[in-house]
Amino acid sequence: MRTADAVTPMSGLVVPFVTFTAVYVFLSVILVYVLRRQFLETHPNAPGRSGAAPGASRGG
Amino acid sequence: MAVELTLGAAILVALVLYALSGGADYGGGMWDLLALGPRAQRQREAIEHAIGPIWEANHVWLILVIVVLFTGFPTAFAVIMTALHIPMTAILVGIVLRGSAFVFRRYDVRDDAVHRRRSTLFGAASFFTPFLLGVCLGALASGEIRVAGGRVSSGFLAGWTGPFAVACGLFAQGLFAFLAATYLTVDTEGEPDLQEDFRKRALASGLFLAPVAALTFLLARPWAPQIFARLTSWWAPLLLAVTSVCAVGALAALWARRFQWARVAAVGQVTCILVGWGLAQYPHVVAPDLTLTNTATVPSTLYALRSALAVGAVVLFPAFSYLLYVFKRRQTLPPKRGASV
Repeated sequence: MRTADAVTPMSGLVVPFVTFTAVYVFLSVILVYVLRRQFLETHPNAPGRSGAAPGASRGG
Repeated sequence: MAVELTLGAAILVALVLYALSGGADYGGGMWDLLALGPRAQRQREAIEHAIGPIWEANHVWLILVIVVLFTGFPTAFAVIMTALHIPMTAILVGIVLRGSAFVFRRYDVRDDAVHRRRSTLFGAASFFTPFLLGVCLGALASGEIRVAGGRVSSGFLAGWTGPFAVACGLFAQGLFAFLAATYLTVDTEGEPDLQEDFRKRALASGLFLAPVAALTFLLARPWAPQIFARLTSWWAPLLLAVTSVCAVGALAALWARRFQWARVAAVGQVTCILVGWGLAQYPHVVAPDLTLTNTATVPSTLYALRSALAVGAVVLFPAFSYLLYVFKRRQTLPPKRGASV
């Protein structure tokens, strides 16, 4: 059985494809955002953190 | 027939366990979104603590249903996934968003607008996912999904867009909200004000269920006639009586603040409702064209699957019991937000 024969007869498969792509792109963006925020919040010398020493060597 | 029946029963058992565990998680998400009053924040913390460590383990039951379905009854699986492609896709998106929102929120650092938006996403997904789960079960019972030559012939909107399926969706929502609130009355033992909040929510959602159940039943007559006819079998009045006793018993126990009993009765109620659906549906997987027998795969696979399930159960049940035991033991410690990793 070829992939083309096995595929669902549902038309407009581009819609679920775009939907799932959008969901996972959205989640990836949020993940990066959460990780960044967590880093900035917990790392004492992270750049962008209020009160951080400018030019701190451990920042990243 | 025997082996198909065993596998069908395994699917039903897994669905019941999913409703009792995962269903309550959805309900918890609903109450998170509806957290109101001066103790809203503490309500959310109690819900988070209750869902906490086992929130993703509950999906094991849904996965089991799907695996048994596509291994044992591949034709039924293909038809269900094709005919219900749209709601199934939405359920999948709902499960993914709900889980992600919960995890992001739990491991996030600050309470602010972003945090709030995640809570909203978690709550919204907790509302629409169980609605669609109910809609899908209703669609299977509706008799509107038709099959010709092993392929769906009724299109992609049949069944799940009908009034009966929508009523089933509302019923599932109400049932899960009720189950969650009832569980939470037990979980908040030792915090009487919170417990009272969840008691009121459990009573309200339990009372909401009664008219929705009646509506679902009445709509079954014109919109799911085959299932409705099965509800006149000898077992139906008996099951209805047990379900009613559980439902009334749960409400009475909540009223009398006997929360442990309320939880037992609510579990009984949900179990009876799903078993009733299963018996009414039997022997059909998708009424009226697909049955357990005419969608079952070759016997060798069925027997192998049955053995695999038996072995799996030996591993799964003790593991799950242990997980719950560990989790419930943690429950006796004072809940401390952010204490866990």
